[in-house]
Amino acid sequence: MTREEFLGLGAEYAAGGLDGDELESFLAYLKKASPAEAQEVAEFLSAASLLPLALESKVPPTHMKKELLRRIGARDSIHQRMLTLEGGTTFTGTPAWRRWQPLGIAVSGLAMVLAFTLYVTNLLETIDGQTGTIDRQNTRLVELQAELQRKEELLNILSARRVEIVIMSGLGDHTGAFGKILWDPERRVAILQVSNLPPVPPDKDYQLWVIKGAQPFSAGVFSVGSTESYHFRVDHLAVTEPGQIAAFALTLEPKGGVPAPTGTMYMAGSPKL
Amino acid sequence: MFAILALIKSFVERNEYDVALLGRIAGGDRAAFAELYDRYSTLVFTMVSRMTKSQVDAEDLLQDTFLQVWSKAETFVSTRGSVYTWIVTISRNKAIDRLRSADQSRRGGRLDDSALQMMSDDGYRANPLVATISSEYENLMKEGLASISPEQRKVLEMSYFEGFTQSEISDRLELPLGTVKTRIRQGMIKIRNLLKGRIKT
Repeated sequence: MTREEFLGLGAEYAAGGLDGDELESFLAYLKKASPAEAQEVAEFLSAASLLPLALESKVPPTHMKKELLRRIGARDSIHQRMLTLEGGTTFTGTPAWRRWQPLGIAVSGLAMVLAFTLYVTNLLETIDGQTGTIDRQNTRLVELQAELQRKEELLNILSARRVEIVIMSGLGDHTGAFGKILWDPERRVAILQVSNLPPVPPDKDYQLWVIKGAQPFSAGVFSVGSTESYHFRVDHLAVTEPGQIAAFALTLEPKGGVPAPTGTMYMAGSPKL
Repeated sequence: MFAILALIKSFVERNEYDVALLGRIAGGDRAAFAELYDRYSTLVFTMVSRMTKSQVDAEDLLQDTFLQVWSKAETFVSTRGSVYTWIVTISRNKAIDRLRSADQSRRGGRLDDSALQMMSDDGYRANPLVATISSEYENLMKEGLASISPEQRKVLEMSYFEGFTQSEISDRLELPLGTVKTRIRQGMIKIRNLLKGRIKT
């Protein structure tokens, strides 16, 4: 690789555009680059890192700082408690052993050991119980955050300048099922709402398809349980205009989805053109 | 001339202050963390909002970035670059990961900060472009982006802010790969030279 080629790749690397063999060759050359060459690459990286300054500033919501400080406080608190417990366990036994006298050592020592063991056992059970509670609350928190995110996304789409709605109806044995796609064509983001679909077997997923011309494009996979209604976010819809869509369809496919539909069609709907 | 010297001095002083803040954060100082957040949260939020185009994702990424700053502050090596660059790299890489997870077909765009580690200390320290956020630099960067052609700006933005590799840009814009590479190179060189020229004036 010549110096000129290396510096050209340095500019491309700083912009984040390199991958594959070119990236490997560049990084390998960088390891043995002269100080002057490394300096030039550093200048490209620095210039690239300043690109965000050219954007129009967007101030984060004020509650985020408070939330962040709360979260680091919670982490520290758990860490401190663990340190305290470790320290306390080490400290408790030592002075007692020094006070033991020859007479009655066996009896009092055994009693202390038993008492201490009981104390530690109770303490560990308490910690286990509290850890389980924290785990459950964390799981619930994650579920609530996911639910909140879906609701916020739904609101975002509803407040978009343009919203397209496609009604999907159940087919065959599943005429009781129905669904809707609320779709922001500008951001190419959609929310799929489905109701009364049968729960998904463990080895299957539902897969949403966008039919463009005669060609189906996967728009994502999802599962449903026994709850009546579900919302799913659909990112990067493969089309931008309703006129390009012939239909949306929902099929049951092997877990993780497939490149082209193979399973039973449960629901379908077409945009009103 | 004196204005430029003052500008450079302010950059160096600002970075030194940021480094001191990170040192306090590594020791568990929450007040220092809150101060660093005040200094960089708008920059990070602006960038990740542009990259993800999602308020929800941007808020998540802002939190993730600063949680990493809190937990990894002791790993920052001041001789290898500025706090500004460190934070921008963390947040950009997190945003790239988020974009990739939302679209599995996308391959790259992530910057490996090991490249920064390979560079000589002197080279990095001596580089006046390793600066910190300032209104002067905001204006310079806006001027820099305005100085390159719309075609160069388009591919640079797709690469840096949208996380597409050159091959992906070539596919999406239906342009030869060589054209994409040339535009990125020329754009980056022009911006670098503009910034460098200003500092050295």
